[in-house]
Amino acid sequence: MIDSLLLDATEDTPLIDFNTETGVFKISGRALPEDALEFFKPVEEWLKSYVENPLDSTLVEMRVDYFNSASTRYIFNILMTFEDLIDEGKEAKIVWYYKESDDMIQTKGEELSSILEVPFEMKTL
Amino acid sequence: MAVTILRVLAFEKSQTLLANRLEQLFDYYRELKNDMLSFIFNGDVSDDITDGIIRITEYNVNNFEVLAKMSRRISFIMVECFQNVVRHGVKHERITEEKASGLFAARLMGDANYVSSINLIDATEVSLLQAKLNQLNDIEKDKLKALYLEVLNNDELSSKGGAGLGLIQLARKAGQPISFDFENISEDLSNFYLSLKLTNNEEQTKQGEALRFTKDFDKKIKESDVLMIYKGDFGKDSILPIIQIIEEKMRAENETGSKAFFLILVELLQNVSRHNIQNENKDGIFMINEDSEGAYWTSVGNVVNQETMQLLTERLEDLNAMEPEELKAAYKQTLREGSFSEKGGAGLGLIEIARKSSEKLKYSFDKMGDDMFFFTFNVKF
Repeated sequence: MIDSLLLDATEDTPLIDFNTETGVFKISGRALPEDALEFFKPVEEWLKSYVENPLDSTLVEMRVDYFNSASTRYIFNILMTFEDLIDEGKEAKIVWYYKESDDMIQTKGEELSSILEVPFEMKTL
Repeated sequence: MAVTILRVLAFEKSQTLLANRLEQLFDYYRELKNDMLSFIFNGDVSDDITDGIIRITEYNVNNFEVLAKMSRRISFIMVECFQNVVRHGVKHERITEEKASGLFAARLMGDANYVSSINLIDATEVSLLQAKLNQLNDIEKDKLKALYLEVLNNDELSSKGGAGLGLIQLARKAGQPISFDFENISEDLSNFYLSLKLTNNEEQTKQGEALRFTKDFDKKIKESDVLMIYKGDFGKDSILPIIQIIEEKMRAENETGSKAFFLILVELLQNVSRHNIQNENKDGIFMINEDSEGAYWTSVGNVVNQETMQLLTERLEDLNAMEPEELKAAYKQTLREGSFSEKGGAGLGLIEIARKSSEKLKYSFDKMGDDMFFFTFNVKF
């Protein structure tokens, strides 16, 4: 099993905490980097290695506050990875947290859930 | 009475401007074209945004050799000027009539750099401030330090945060007389104009020059309905502080629906650096207006080449032809497949803007030179 991935949050990038011991993968905070590729590339590289030898079950917890369109694409790609895992017979689930007052993040979650074929649960914070 | 007439005039003016909003941005761009950095903030100011102003200034200033030499002085003077508004400004509940009476403006042009503030003060403070400023302007430069130390060690500090330490420091760092003026606007309120010109040489500024500059510019700003203008670099290091300032401002005003507004803003600002004729200093202009009905207009502008102009026109027209449901479908398809049509199509950013905007997208191109067009993009929210 590869080592866990931990990237601390910054002013314009989110916390990435993919823990391969617990099987809980968290993304939280705001993702507004102008150069989204620069930030997400290492995350995608890491995921590529992870899917070669994944855990039987992965739980993805999303607690995002803001994200720009450039990050949306990468976040979507990351979530797609779990669609691939399910196709290979593994278990994966995404939990999308949002504040009750936050229509925008709720809508984003609903939209992503409608285009991803992964068990997707919406939860209020 | 006079205030009411002014407001009626301002209202009529803003109705006309509404139609000319696209031209307005290009007008400002032309006026500020040679500025390395312009930052204008019209309205109530608070300390929350000082940090953002420092960051914008420092980054932009260090981008230009001619400014870098003065970088510390410029940053210092900007912050002091700005905080002077915060410190001496009359608290908000007293300015219900004239909400947008404060102004902070900095225009850095290299050889001549202006930093100004205008704010309402209590009329009772006028005579004391006037006396202090006259004293500072009369005193010889090398005595300012002694005065500074004297005041510093004096325990009798005024309740408004120091016995003029800020002003003494301003006079010291500027090395130029401070331009100032007062204008009574009612029995108990007065406008306080404060203006500094910084040059990169020893040349002394003519008395009143900076002040005239400030008053002319203030008039222009007040006649429109501008809340904020930024002209300068649009790279990541400049955009983040702008985002920070607007976020603080929105938080302070507790705007509802501000999250979507904030996101449009991020997309618009980042769009400027994505489509820019320059690869290095990504110069552009950004403006927020509040119209008489309380709606916000956000405009960004920058120079693009012909190829980009054609591409943007196609994409924006595509989006304007779509209904909300089609936009939603285009968004999902772009996310899943990379684009919504075989020939490509707008990226997620533009689709996002179109979806959140309350009206069709408004844009224009003005020819500036060979293969150079000024692109204005305007979103009402």
